[in-house]
Formats: sequence, structure tokens, C-alpha cells
Amino acid sequence: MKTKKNIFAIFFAVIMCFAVVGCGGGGKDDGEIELLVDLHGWMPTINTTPTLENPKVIRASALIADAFYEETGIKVKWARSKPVGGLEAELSEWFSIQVSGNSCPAIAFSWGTRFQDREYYMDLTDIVKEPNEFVEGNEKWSDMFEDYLWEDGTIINAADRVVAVPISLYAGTSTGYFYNKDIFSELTLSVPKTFEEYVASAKKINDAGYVGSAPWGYFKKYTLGAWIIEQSIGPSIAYQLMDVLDTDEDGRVSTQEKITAVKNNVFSPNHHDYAKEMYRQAKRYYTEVLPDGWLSTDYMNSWDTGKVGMKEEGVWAMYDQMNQPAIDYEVGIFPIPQFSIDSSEFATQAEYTEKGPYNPRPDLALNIMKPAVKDNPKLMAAAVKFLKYLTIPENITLMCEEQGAALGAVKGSGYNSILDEYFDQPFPKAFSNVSWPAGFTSGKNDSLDRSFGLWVLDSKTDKAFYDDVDKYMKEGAAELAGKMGLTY
Amino acid sequence: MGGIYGYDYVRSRSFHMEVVAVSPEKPVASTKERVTVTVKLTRRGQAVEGHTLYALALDGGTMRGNRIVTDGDGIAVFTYVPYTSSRLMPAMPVRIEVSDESNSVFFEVNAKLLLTVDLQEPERSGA
Repeated sequence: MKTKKNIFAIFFAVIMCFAVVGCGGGGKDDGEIELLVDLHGWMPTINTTPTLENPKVIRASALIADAFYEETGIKVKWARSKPVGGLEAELSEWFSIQVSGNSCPAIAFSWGTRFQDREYYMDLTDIVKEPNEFVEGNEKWSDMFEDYLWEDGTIINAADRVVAVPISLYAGTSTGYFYNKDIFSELTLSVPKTFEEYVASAKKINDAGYVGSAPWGYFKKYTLGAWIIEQSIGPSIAYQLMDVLDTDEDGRVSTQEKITAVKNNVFSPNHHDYAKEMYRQAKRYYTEVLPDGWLSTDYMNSWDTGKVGMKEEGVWAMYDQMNQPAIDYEVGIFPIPQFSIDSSEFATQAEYTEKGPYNPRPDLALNIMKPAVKDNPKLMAAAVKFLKYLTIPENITLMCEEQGAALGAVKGSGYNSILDEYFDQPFPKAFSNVSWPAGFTSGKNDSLDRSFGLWVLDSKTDKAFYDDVDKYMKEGAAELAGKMGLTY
Repeated sequence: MGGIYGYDYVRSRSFHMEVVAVSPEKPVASTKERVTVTVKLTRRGQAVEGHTLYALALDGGTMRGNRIVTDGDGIAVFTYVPYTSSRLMPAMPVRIEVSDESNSVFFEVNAKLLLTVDLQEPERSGA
């Protein structure tokens, strides 16, 4: 009997030694909290000193994490398995694997609200009303940011709950065009401010034997998500519908309002000429601007050798672009041109600042991930603490100056002054409060894009495409409404 | 192979870079500051034109354009933009490494120059 008891005691002791630690975000069994954090492209690099082979070094986030540990005893571990350069499909798969494998980061980047239909995000609405204890005198964390940010679709979800904290902002519009100043000078072109001027410039450059406008290197299909459509054509036409869309008259179109409008055929090309016009103009981008063979062409070499007039790019790549191999022509950058009344009677007249960005939108926005913290209040508290520490203005400045092409999201934070030259031009007052919907879900977006591509190539009639728009938009709207507890 | 590498190694040693000027000499650690770094490339006492020099700030801050081609006098002028000093990253001497990307024939063996820019803490207004 005594032997059996001894055996049981030893067995029990062994089991206790192998006590399981909580999900991915950390929580070590010695009482020290370890936070698994994904800062996407802002995570520190392994190399801490730039070299010719690896000139890009990120140290700021490591410095901040080390200082955070000194102050709080909470250790930050980086989610280095994330495919940082990946597009939505790749990141979607990565998150699915992390969640199912119990290794989901406690803090992550996912374009703010991209996966809001998956129960990934902690509701931070009440948390951002707490003080940030790391900022002297602060009584409400959200006061550290401009008000308009708390209405951005990458910060609040379809149910109007805050699910992300902005860390950095795009330097103006999120995307723009690098342009060859020599070609512009040769052809006496001015920087295009409207879509129509952009189309005309591209045509003139093409006619002169150059490539008028090269698309972003990762756009390898016909898509209504092309930046010029998503950020320029669509919002300009949608803004004319504000009276119809903004039913609660709060100055912005919520996801619910958009879903209701879809159900009521407000965006239907079968019902409205302005909707037909939206798609007609989107088609023009592919038929009148992009050069033949664009789908299978890499324009990098053509750009480097001075044969491309305009190159579509994310503003986040600005600093890297400035440090490319030596090219023997001057490069400029202009923000994405606005769709205006010189293109269509259904457009909104474009407006510009005298100089400098207008209400720049969030670039890096971080979520606290429900799968990691939901059963671990200590880990949740640690994640909140780290986000508050990250948003100390001096820390935001450190990160943004290093990144080179981003603004800080926090009032009083700085940016790298190499941006000042870029800011010395008018910027569009882009519409952040309204957009033209696509398919609402990844699946329906893909279906819509496929139909759009066939229509652009004249393999589908107008009617067949318009029917697809109505079908996929409505199906997607209903699907999202179901997942988010909204009304369809 | 070793012989070919050796050729480029010896060749790289025949190129000489020197700092002509750093202005201002003791710049403030602020992103608003601009530091001009003038470098001269010679070979056997003669100015070398048309070589691409690549500058890297090793300890923080930004080169406003990493690559400059030397002119007829062998001169390349770089602009260094310091970081803004903070509690986590105070002002300190910053190393800038300049490499000649054009001196090799077969194997990339770059002539290099390492210089230091002595950043100063900005004057802060009293509380």
C-alpha cells in the first residue's frame, strides 16, 4: 500500500512539473509574463547594424520592448514566423494556423479590421477611455489621438466597436505614384491632380514610346481593389450619395448603412446610371491606362533604366525607393489623383490642401487578439500595457523616424523630416467617411473580381456583369451581416 | 578563383577615400538637422570620376539618398539626417560607412571609409 502511495505521489509530482502554459501570448509558469507580439514590418530585424547586403535595420521596437521589460518585468517576444510581405490570403492562412495551433500572438497587425468576421479581436472601446499611465497627465488614452481616427474603418469594426489602436499613419494618402521628372519635363507634363489628368498623362507618355503608368508590382489580376478604383473613383461617386447612405446623419457611412444600401439596390448598376458609371470608369483604368501585357510584366528594370513615366507604389516604400541603385534621372512622388468632375458628372469635385496631408489614415494599427488572451486576464492586461507604452509620443517618434515614410498616430509625435519635401505640395482631401463597396467578404471579393476581369476583357456582357455585381454584393453583405450581428 | 579574388582585393586597396568635410561638425541630434558629408575618391593620387559610392548610417539616422556618383573631382556629397534624441536613443557619435561599389572587376571587394559624426543633445527649453 505504501509503495502504491509512493508511486502515486511521484507520478503526481511529475505531472505538476509539466504544467501546461497558456496559449501563444505567453504566461510562463515561473510567474513572468511573456507577450508574443506581431508588429508586422515594424518588428526588429535580426541584424542590428546595416550592411551593404542588408541595409534595412529596425531597432526602435527592440529598444522600446527592452525598456518596457525594465519598467514592467513583462517580456516581449516577436512573432517572427509571420510572412510580413504576404497579401491577405497568406496572412489569413498564417493567422488560422496560429489560432488553431495555440500560438496566436497577443498583439498583432491585420490591417485593423480585415478579419473582423472571425472573432479575432478584443473589444477595446472601454479600454481606450482609460488613462495611459505612461504619459504624465493623461486622463484618457484616446485623447492622445485625433478624433477622426476613432471613426476609421481600420480602427472600429462593423459594429462600431474599437478593435485596433493606431500606431502610425500613412504619409498623406496611403498610395501614390513615383514619377520620372525627366520624362515629365521632356513631354511638358505637370503632376496630375485628377484621374482624368492622370489618364491623359499616361496616354501621352505611352505615345512617346515609354511606359505611361506601371501598376504596383503585387497587383497581378483585374481587381476592383486596385488603389485608383478603391481610393479615388469609388469614394468620389459614393460621396454624392451621402444623403441616401448616411441615414443616422453622423457624417460617415457605417458598415450597417452600407449593407442596408446594398439591399436597397443603392449601389446596383442594374438600377442606377451612377453605378454603371463607377464600373465604366474602373474599366477605363485597365483599358486606357495600363499598357498591353501588364499582367505578365515586371517593370522594375524599365523603371530603373528610365523607361517608365509613372509607377504606382505604396507611400510606405518611399524611403526604400529613395535608396535604390543609382539612377540617372530625378524621381518625384505625387499622391493618388482624385476622381473629379472632369471625368464624370457623377463625381465629386476634388479638393486639395494648400500643402501637406489631410487626415492621414492609419498605417500600423494593432489588435489585441482574442484567441490569445480570452482566458488569460493577466495576459490581456499585459497586452494593454504594452500598447500604452508603445504609444508614448517619444516612442512613436523613434519608430516613425526609423521607418522613414510614416507619420506618428499620436499627437505630439514626430516623423522623419525627409518627408518634408514630399509634403511641400497640395494633397487631396480624400474621402475617409464613405467608400464604394465590393463583395464584403474575401470570397465574394474574389468572385466579383473574376467577373470584373471577364467584363474588362469583353468576355462578359454589361448585363451579365451587372447581374454579378448585384448578386455578389448582396450575398457578401448578407454573409458579413450574419457574422457581425448586423441587419440585412 | 583565389587569384581572381586577390586581384580585386589588391585593386580595392588602390582606391582611397577621404573625408573632405562634415558640416556642421557637431550637429544636433534632430531629424530637422542636415549634415553634409563630402567625400573624395582618388586612385594613385588622381581623382576618380563616375564611381558609385554607397553610404550607410550604422548607428541611426537616415542617409538622404544612399548612392552618389563621384564627379570629375572625385567628389561625392552625401546628406545625413540625424535621428531625434530621446530617452531610449540619446545623442551619441554615429558611424557612417562609405563603400565604393564600382572599384571591383570580378569579385565585389569594396574600398571603404568609416567616419564618425558627433551628434549633440539639442538644447531643451526649461520646464
